[in-house]
Amino acid sequence: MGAESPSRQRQATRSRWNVRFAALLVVVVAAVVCPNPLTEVRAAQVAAEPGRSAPINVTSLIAPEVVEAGTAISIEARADRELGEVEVEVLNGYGRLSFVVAIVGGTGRLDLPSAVSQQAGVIMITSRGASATVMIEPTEVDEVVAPLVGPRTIVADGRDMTLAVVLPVDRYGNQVVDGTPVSVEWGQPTPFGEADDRTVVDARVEDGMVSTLLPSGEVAGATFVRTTAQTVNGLDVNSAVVRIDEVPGIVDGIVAVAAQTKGAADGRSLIEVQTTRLVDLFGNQLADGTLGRFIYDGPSGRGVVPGTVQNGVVRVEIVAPTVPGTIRGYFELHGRASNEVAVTFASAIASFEAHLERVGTDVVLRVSSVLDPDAAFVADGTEVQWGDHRTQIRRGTAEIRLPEDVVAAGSPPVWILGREQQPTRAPS
Amino acid sequence: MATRTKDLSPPLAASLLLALFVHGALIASGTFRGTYDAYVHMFFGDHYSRDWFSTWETRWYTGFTTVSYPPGTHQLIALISKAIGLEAAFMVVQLVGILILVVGVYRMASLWAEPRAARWAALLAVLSTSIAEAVHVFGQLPTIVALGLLLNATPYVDRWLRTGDLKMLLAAITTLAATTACHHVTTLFGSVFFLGPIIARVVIDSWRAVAATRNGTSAARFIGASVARSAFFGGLLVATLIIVVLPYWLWSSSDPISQVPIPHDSRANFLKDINAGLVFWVIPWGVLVLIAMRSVFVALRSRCWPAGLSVVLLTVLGTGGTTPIPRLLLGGAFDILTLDRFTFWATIAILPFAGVVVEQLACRAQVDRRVVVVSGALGVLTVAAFIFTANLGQFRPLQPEPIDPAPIADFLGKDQHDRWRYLTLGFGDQMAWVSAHTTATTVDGNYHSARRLPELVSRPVERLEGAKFRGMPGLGSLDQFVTTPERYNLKFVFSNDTFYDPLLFSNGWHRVERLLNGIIVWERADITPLPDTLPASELPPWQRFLWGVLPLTAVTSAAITNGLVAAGRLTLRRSGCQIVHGPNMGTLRHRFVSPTWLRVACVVGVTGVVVAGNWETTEASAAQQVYDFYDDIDFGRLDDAWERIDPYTGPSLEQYRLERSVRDGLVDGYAKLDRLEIIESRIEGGAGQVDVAAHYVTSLTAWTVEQTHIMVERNGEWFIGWSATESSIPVEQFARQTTVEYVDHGRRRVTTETSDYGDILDRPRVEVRDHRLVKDGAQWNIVGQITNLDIDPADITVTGRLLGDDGNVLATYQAGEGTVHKLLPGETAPFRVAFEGVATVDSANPVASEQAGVFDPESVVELRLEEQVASYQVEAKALVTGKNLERLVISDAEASNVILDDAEHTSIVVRATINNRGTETATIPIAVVSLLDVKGNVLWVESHPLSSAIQSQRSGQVELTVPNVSALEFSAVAGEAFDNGRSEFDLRSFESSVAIPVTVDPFFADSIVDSVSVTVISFERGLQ
Repeated sequence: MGAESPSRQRQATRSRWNVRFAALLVVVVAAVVCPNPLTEVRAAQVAAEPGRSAPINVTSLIAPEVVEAGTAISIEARADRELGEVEVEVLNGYGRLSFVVAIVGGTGRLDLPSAVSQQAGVIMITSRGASATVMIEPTEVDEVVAPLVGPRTIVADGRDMTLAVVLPVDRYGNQVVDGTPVSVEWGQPTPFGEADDRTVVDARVEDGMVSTLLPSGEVAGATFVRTTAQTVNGLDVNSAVVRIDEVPGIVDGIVAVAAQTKGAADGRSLIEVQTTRLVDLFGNQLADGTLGRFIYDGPSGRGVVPGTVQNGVVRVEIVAPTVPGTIRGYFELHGRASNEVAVTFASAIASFEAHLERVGTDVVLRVSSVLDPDAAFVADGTEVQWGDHRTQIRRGTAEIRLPEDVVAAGSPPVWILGREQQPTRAPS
Repeated sequence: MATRTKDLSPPLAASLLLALFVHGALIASGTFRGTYDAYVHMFFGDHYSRDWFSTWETRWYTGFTTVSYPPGTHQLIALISKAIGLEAAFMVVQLVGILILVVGVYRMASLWAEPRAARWAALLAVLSTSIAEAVHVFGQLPTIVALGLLLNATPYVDRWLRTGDLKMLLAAITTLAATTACHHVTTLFGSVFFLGPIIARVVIDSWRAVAATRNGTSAARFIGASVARSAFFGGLLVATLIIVVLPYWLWSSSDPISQVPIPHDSRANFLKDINAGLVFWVIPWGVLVLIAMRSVFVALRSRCWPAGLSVVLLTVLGTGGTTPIPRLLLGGAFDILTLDRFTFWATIAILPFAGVVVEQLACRAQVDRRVVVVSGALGVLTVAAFIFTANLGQFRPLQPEPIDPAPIADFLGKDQHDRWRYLTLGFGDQMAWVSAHTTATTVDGNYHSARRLPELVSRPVERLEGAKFRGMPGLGSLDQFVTTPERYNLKFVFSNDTFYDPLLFSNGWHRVERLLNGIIVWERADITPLPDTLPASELPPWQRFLWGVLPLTAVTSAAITNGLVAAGRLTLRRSGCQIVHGPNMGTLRHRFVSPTWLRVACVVGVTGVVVAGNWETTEASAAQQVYDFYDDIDFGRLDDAWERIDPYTGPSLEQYRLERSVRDGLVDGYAKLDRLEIIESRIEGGAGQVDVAAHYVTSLTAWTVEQTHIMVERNGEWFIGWSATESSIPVEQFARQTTVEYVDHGRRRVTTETSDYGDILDRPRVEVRDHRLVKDGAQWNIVGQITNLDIDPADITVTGRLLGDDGNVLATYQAGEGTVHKLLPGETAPFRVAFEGVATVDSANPVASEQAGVFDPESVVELRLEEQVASYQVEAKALVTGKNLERLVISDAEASNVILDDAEHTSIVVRATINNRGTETATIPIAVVSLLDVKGNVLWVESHPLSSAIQSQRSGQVELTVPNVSALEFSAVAGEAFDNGRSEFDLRSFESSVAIPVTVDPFFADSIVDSVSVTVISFERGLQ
């Protein structure tokens, strides 16, 4: 082989590069245009087979119109060719499924597994040239979901009510067909115990559910609600039990009682006042925690003492006033008032000594021997007033020191728990 | 001729080793945990660690854009944190930043002074109190790194301007780009104060060089080249500044800052505010201040005068409000900038000349032994000042005790608590660290420049969590959030400060639990959770890409170019860039002598300032004694306070301590003394009286306690007279009480599933008994009463809406204070929905508003409505609760109409005794007073917190004054009430008869107030 000229070598090189470039271009174009070459190969093979020069058309799909949920479905496909394969698509509630059916002698059979038909509703079956629908109906009641009851606290006054909603389903969770009988049963408390007074309401499923109003009873306590449905085999299916509370209503009447009717106006003693057992119109004891208030008017003004019902009774303590007199008050609960009770408070001071004494340029008031009616010393902290000046008794005595010119205008009386007394002047 | 001396300057490597050792040890010991900003930078680092290309952060301020802060250092933290965690990553970046800064100081100093001085400058930088303060007290990271990078760029800039070497230009620009990536403000101002003098000197040098040649043509060319290079460099720098953080500039131009100026102590008059002066002037300057004047003279008397001028300007700007000059120079920017950074830059800019002075001392010390003593003393002082500054946070903690964020993150992570927003109170800057540990969101945040919530930008408060430190303005901002939490889906408050307890309690919040770290969790019931997907305002993808790539690219480029320089590939050393342009030492030694008159003036001036500042305190007076007494009590110095009490009439120390310990309540336990006003001091001879008004700030309201103190003088010293304390004894020594307790189980199973329908309790039946629309001045209010008809206690939420003609909602607000939020079964209580505008003073331009920053606790933010109110709605909803149901007893109550000052100001005054029959101390009793008409319907409602606690089984006297209703305007507009979403569901509301009849003076015969109802609830501190 003789040596080629440089120009031919360059031309050969160029043509080789052109070929490579063309090949590369072909590959790129093929990759873009034919994303799945294998599909094309398969298509070519199918086209080469006898009788497959054109796609097979399905002339009809024969399927049952209605089946029960969870039943296998057999579908027959009739095609316009004797031999071949057709693709059948099934659309159900879960999505789209694709099957390949072999056509032999112009027909093919597709058996859908029971899993495909578990959801009630319509299944659509389509193929090239034909389609069919299958209605999936729910089966018999398998489970009764616990009823939704709300509100779950109602007043036991015979007027209040709550709503129970039941959603019975079959074994696959499909709501059962309308008309399915369902019973709603509830047991209300009685004066002798709970859940003895049972009521059953028979209803039929409508729009997939059963709803019923449950009126309250007249006895406070727990009410239990459950639902029952019957299967085709005659077996009863019960739901779980739901508890609702029937609670007492407004207080019917209040009777107030004071533990004592007399006391000392010492500003610190406690007098207990309480109600009798509080019940509503139907005799239900009021719930613990309900607010009751004792409102009273006394010599020093009005008092409001809050208390809560505990074991049916409101019990409060009122503080003795610092001024002798009578306090009259009543309980108020749920906007209703009790009878009035009165407690009379006598002076807590029998006697005391008060002396004025000059110390330098000041005047000192000394209070001592402050005795109660039993001749006992009053408690420390008892307030002593002298005009606008106040102090407290400490260890039996009290002292107020003022400049002389303040006192010169005239000494006011000394006031202790409503008892007044003019101080005496100690000899200078 | 100058004497040849030994070179005593430390090598740069030694300074770097010292920096590594000293600052490294301090950082490793955790000084950053007590700083202001460290956790903020870690939070930003956490943001980029979670999503590098995200520019939206939902965890703060209901969402904000992160392009509001240059990301260089934060992205470095994020990158390193992948390997070693956030804290360690921060420590690494911070330490590297310090090393870069030391090298930068050396390189900058080399431009202005000879190498010996530059080495001294590097050592001074290591021991600089301003750097120590910035790092170990303020926790500044971007500032340190950016300044270090900027200073490293200075020799490149100088070299480019002198020689036109493009490689130097490349190195300069990449380094400045990295500076911008870390902190754009440093580039902005640094160009003026650090690069400006270099440019000026190059131009002047070229002018002088040309002048020496006396050749006009070459002169023009030579100067023209310098100017042209400067201009080219300037243009390139501006372009770099814009491009590197372009999304920031686009954001700031489209969404300008509308924040009301937040007071900063760096703008204070340092002579009046000594603490501010200490922190922002004395400490940063440190020992440098002793040689500052000499250093400036060194600069100004040499060819380095542009740098000297820069130092002077920075120093003046750093004086804040001490002189009017900074405000004149900065104009409006004065109220926005934090001026301490100028002082910081001044202390860095002066280092080359301080190095010169130190070198002078080192030289003279070799010939003059007296200078050895002076130099040694300066050295010891420098080290001592550094140690003091670096450990300032130990001497005076700037942050609360460290809080472990893990229990909070666990709480938010469990039971879907992160479906609501939360708020931290009393966390200091650690709130950022908590945020970094959770994906839950908060309405607060720790970077106020980015926030856009009107309630926040209209208040001069930095963070809600520290609202009390901004006094009433801060509390006013917080108040809106806790009053209307529904608006922000705010359900949880983590409180580390009991100061806020009264505010939370009175707005219907209740305590849930104490976490393992001691934090109390407060909850507001019935808040709607956040939607699953929060709105995000992410920037366009190209901007996010730039933000994620450019800054770190700039940092990387700077590292490469500087690395090449260090390796000699860019021949910086050989080009002679680090030649000595500094002043001649020998010349300076003789030329620089500070004038005697100047020294004397300095001494006299400083002494005068000190004497003037202390003149008042040296005067012993009775009033001063009272002032000091309150100060001692406020800071818990009970021993010192006791020593100011008259020893003859006062209690023993033990008794005094005991009496203090049993005092509690809003003022004694939850207030912060704002100021003490001496009203009058009447002194005659050795005795007298001092009337004072102590102004307290509480989370509920400002509180003033007026008191008269008897003063006696003994042995020339004034003492405070003592009055006996309460000595009454409860009648029962051991009281028994039965109560009804409640517990809401919530979920009945331990499961991560959502609650079952059956687990949720029914909403209690509540009913709005009566309601009316009332206008108090410019403020709309809906007042009324609500009854709990249920057998369960109810936690109520009352929402009011003002409607327009078409039924459109004009405003919505919730009942806060003045409402009993937890109702017992069968209880009727009043409520008041007091409408306020969103706390923006002027939505168009809040910064310029005259009212900005002013908050009167009695005032309200006016609600501006677009149209007339045609109707209103009030909606009450309730959940079952078992908390905060305590009620106090009222006795001896009387209500009367009185005239206060004149006939136009009448009030209803209720005098009563409040008894606590419970077993717990009523720490903060709150009387909710409602004025009723003859039908028992509410006319007006007010809340009155009582100043003192009421111990169990004891009582207290109160006098409650409620303005009469004559000033109110009762609207005839019709309203509608909804109970748990239903209108007129139940009509069984109770008529209540617990009101106190008002004794009507004939003068007020036409008063429509028939009676007063008082409900006293109480916050119990309990054992929590």
